[in-house]
Amino acid sequence: MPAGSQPLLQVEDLVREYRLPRESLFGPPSRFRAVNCVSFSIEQGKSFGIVGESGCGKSTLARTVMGLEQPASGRVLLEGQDIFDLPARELRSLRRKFQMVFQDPYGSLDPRFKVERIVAEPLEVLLPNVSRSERRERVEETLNSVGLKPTDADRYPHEFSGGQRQRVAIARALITEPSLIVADEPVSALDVSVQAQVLNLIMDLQTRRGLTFLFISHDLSVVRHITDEVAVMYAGEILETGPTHRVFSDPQHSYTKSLISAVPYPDPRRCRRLRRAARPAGAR
Amino acid sequence: MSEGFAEIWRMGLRNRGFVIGGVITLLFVALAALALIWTPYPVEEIVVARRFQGISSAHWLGTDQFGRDLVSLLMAGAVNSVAVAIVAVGLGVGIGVPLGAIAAARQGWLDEILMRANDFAFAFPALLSAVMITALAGPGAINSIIAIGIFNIPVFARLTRGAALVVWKREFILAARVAGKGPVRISIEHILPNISSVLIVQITIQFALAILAEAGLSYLGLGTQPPQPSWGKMLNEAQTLMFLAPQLAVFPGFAIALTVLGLNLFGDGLRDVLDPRLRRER
Amino acid sequence: MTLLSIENLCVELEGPEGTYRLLNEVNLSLSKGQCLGLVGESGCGKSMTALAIMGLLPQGMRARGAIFVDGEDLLRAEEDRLCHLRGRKMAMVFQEPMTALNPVVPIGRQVGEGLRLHLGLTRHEAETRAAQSLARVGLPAARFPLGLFPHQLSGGQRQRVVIAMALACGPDILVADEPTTALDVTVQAQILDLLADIIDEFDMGLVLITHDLGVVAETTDTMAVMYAGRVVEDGPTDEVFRRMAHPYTRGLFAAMPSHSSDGAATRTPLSTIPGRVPDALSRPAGCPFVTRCGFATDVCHRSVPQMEALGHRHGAACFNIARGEVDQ
Repeated sequence: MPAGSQPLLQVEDLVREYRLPRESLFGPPSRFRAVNCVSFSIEQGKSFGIVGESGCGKSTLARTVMGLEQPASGRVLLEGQDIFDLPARELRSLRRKFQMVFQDPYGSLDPRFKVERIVAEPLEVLLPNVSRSERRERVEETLNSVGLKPTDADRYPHEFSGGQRQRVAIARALITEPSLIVADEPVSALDVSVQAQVLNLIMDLQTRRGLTFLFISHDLSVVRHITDEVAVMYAGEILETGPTHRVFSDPQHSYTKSLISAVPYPDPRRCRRLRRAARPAGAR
Repeated sequence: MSEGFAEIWRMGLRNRGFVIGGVITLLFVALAALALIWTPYPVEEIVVARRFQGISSAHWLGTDQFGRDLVSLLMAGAVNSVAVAIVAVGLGVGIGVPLGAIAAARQGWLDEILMRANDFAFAFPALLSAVMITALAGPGAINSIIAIGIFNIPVFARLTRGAALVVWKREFILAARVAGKGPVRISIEHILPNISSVLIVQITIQFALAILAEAGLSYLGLGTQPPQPSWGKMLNEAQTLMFLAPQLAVFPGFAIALTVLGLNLFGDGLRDVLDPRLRRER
Repeated sequence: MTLLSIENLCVELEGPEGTYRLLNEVNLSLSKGQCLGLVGESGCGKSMTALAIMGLLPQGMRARGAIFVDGEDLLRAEEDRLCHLRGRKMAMVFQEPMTALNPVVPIGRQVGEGLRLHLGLTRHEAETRAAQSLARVGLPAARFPLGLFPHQLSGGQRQRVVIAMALACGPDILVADEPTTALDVTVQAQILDLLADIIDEFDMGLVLITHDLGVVAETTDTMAVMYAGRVVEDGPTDEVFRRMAHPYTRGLFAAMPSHSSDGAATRTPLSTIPGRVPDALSRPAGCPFVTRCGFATDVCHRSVPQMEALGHRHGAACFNIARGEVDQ
């Protein structure tokens, strides 16, 4: 396969199991499949969304793709290289190429580190030969590219608002100039107007730097707005996948349909009518 | 910690517990340090002629049944207390904290073994076991230090593991793993600094407890041996003279209580001062 | 008939560095069988308004103005009287069903507790009523025995229990503070349907607090947009959505990701409101929105705009609507 046509990320039949507590003293422990035979691939420069409700396994999938959890079976190929096939040391140095942004802008930054050290963290480990002044320079450059001031490097996370913290987290993911960023609910904890700012930043970075995104969210309108392709997950499996506009305008699976129709629509006249007509007789 | 020491200091001065506890602790350590080079009277000098003297300008707190100067004895006793506490708590921290950190980082069977061993150690009342150890190994300062130190190990191991497990679940640990850090580096750079305030508070509490334990062992005659002065032994000797010379019991007792109080105040204050989240201007 | 009317409500908190004005001249009213939506971003004062309606303002807060429930001013009522009214006149549904429920008490007892306390029912009577209440919210005793504990239920089911607790003593006003924020979209739809059905059936009034304009559009009859402790626009939901008179309302709406059904909007930049909500200490002297507003003029910096009538019961607090600068 020529290098140009190879997808940046390929996930093949990925299975992630958790062991549950034993039900009887001597019985075998039962297992729970959080991710069940999931396969998809992302082309270079595209953004791929995964939507689903809580507990569907989307966050577990994100962490497994990042190599933070061990799959029971299946492969995760980054530029054709199986990340679980690598020795720990090599996987660590490969991390330069794929980074992650987390959901909670309050929990994902070490409160005891200054922003400079937080942003430089991947650099420190993955490219230890960078000199101190160069490191500072790169931190300032990266902060600048996410809309923060270079002087913000000397502040602590608690001095920032939620939106700014998420920018810091994005800067940390960008500093090693990765090709893939896995974003797990990066805007769910933010207010609408701040969420729009961060989403714009993500879209802007993607076009400017040609980044590839794996974007995990429960919010259908967000995923619809910023992704090229989308996969709908339910109970650990992908039910439906395809180009975002097609999945949303012409959903095939009944679950996708119910998910889309449940999203509240900010137009009072049109929607209330729909709702009163479609209201089910009893509760689930 | 690279962050401004000046700022910690500035915050500290605003914290009442930190200042009062710090002054008491500092005074106590300073007296001990001074006692290493100078005491008002030599502590081993027995002058029967001046025994049981009251408070006077020559002997600020009076003299004991052998005519030794009480101030000098208390100062020398402080040296003993500090030395025992430092070594015993150091032993607990030095072994307990790494064990707890390893258990939290590795999980699985190693964690099980370490924590069950811990439970085993916890199952014995610490002071009784210390009595047993010193009784078996023979009384003396070194043995009492080891006995007190051994019972500090599970305290710190358990505390470290519990606090570390909470931190391990935070997202910034995932972020550090994504940045390519291994468990050792994460433990040193992220886990320990984030649990340091808990550890520091526990260190001051254990320091106070070690001083109490040493006093207890010496009181029973299992700790520091004569002629080395120690607060516990002073209490023991004063016991039979309670009605004759109550100050002989009151002053060492007061010294113990004050030191323990000072350390606890200091530890609480330090915890508040070291936490950058509380340092927020608001 | 007006169930609830809030007049010029101001809430202040004396802090070490000055006075925090948490709510400023808030005016709201709610009629029987109606749902009033309170929208805004975090820190805008919507939850504080909910607490004020419940008579649950935290210690040390000073409240001025009036909150009339059935002609009785809650701000002048003693704590005993408020205790008496809570549950009977007004009840509350919280955001996190797990923290609103006691994890070690079975659901039947939690729902019945208020009945025994307020109406003096016996344990047996209370249980019967609790079972009815739970059945009404979609948890029939046949499938959901009263002895179940909260952790045995899903998030949506727990929220149903919380709603049953709120309904138990037959309140006139239900205050729901982000009742579906912690839930999945499909469950959210069910809970909103349930709330809408209940206010119709019992002829109650619902105050629905949310940050989601979609939820407001689908569920409420009237709405109020809050910003920095003030109501900046209010009126019938249809009217407010049709006109979006206040720049903040419009900005909030425009910042939402694509809701159009065609794919054209995909990957276009979203419009944003620059900056962020000023905290309660550093609010600007004039219009609270002035620092983030694209239409701000001199007068906006100097004085606070008053609520101006724009149509039937629709109003907005902005100088520039009157002058026609905001409206296209």
